[in-house]
Amino acid sequence: MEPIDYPLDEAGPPRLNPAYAELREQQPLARARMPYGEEAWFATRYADVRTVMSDPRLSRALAKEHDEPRVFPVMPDVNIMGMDPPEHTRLRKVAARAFTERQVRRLRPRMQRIAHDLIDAMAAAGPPLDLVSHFGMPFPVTVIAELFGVPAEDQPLFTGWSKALTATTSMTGERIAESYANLERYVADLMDQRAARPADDLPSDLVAAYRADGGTSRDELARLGMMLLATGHGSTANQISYGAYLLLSTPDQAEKLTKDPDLINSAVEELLRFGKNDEAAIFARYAREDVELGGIVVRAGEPVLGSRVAANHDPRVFTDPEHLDITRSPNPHIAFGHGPHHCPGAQLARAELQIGLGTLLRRFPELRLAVSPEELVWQGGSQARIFAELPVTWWPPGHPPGPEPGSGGSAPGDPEQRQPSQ
Amino acid sequence: MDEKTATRYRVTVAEDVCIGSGSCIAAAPTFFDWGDGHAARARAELVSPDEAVLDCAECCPVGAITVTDEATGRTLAP
Repeated sequence: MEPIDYPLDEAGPPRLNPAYAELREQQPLARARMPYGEEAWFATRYADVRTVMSDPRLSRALAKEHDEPRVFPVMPDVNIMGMDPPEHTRLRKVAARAFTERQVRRLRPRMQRIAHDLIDAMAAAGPPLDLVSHFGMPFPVTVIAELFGVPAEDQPLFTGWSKALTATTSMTGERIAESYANLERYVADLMDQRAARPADDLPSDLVAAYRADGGTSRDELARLGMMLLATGHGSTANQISYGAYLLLSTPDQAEKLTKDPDLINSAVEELLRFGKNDEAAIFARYAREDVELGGIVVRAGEPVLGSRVAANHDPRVFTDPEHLDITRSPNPHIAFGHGPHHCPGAQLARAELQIGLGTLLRRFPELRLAVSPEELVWQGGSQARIFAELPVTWWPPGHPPGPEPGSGGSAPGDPEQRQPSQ
Repeated sequence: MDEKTATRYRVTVAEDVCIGSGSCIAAAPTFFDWGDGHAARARAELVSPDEAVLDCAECCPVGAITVTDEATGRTLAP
């Protein structure tokens, strides 16, 4: 069987590569060659991908004994993703405690305030403007900074270092190692400060969990904190901007949501399912024993990768999977993974997407792309593909009159909105 | 510690909260399985004390699992 070269697409706008459907129907367990590491089995059916992620016979811990198939030059040293239960459970409980449903619920009013403040600033600046730098990025970054109790002026530091955790070719190995070291030191220092003087924040919770559980070391916890800080804003930032892009490039769905804001929760689930910009299959599992999967026996010691994007478009589970339907229900997508390693921050991410996108559309019912989708510049070199900028506008068509939106003319309402933003 | 003195655990999965992450079913298949649809369910409501059940309640990404002491009604996890 000739292996596929993976990832399938690395440049340009994310798309559902037709190879996924072919593999799913003809070779549900294919062979794949990744940029780095040994060849792997590659699962594309929903049921098989869930098995890859949750069957205890398929191990993450064994990966460190092998040249793991991967998109990263060096596999990010994310300890919690290199463990199996029951060892994994010890650290997982700490991560889960940091992001409980109750804590997320408590944070919601604060998130709402942050969203309104950013949108107030957007309204004052006036369209057109870049949604990534005005909202997509600062919203989750402000939320995670408050969760971690770190000052606003630190934001450029930790957001810059965090990029190392998802860099594939966008950073040199040296830069990645240096950013890692900086981020780890930053989080370790933060935890030392909270150990001396506890506060009502996530690092203090981590310190408390560390003290309550003798089996967890300070370094282990610092690395866990580092991962929570980095993935806790980076992937959410991508998904807010990318989610807005998906909605705005599907005007009938955006309009449906504007008319019925109560659809926001199911809309967010559908955007997560439908998304294709974070398609890289990562975190291969190694078979502890022979395991039958997709009609093939994976031999003990062999690695398997599961494609979330392929699984989330499996017609066995999702009717008309290539159609974005914000009312889809049920929607058991696996964008956050499945099984023991299911994202512990999923509820935080969901709340941010619901509040972020929901508030944007409520405040700007006319929100739309200010350029054609083909004009967007997509950046590769990282786990997820994203545009550098997403120019949007929210004045109704024809308002203000004039050749260029935002270039002047009479604006409805607030005259301050007439200032061009760039 | 309550979880040490309890003689029976009552295990409940809030079906309306469960997102079907499969975390508990993967970790402790003797205690949890799939219910109807995409939510997990406890195989038995009352079980002998076992740390694995408490771990599941604490690892659930949405806190859908609650473990109480059947005798006192006190919450043991999460």
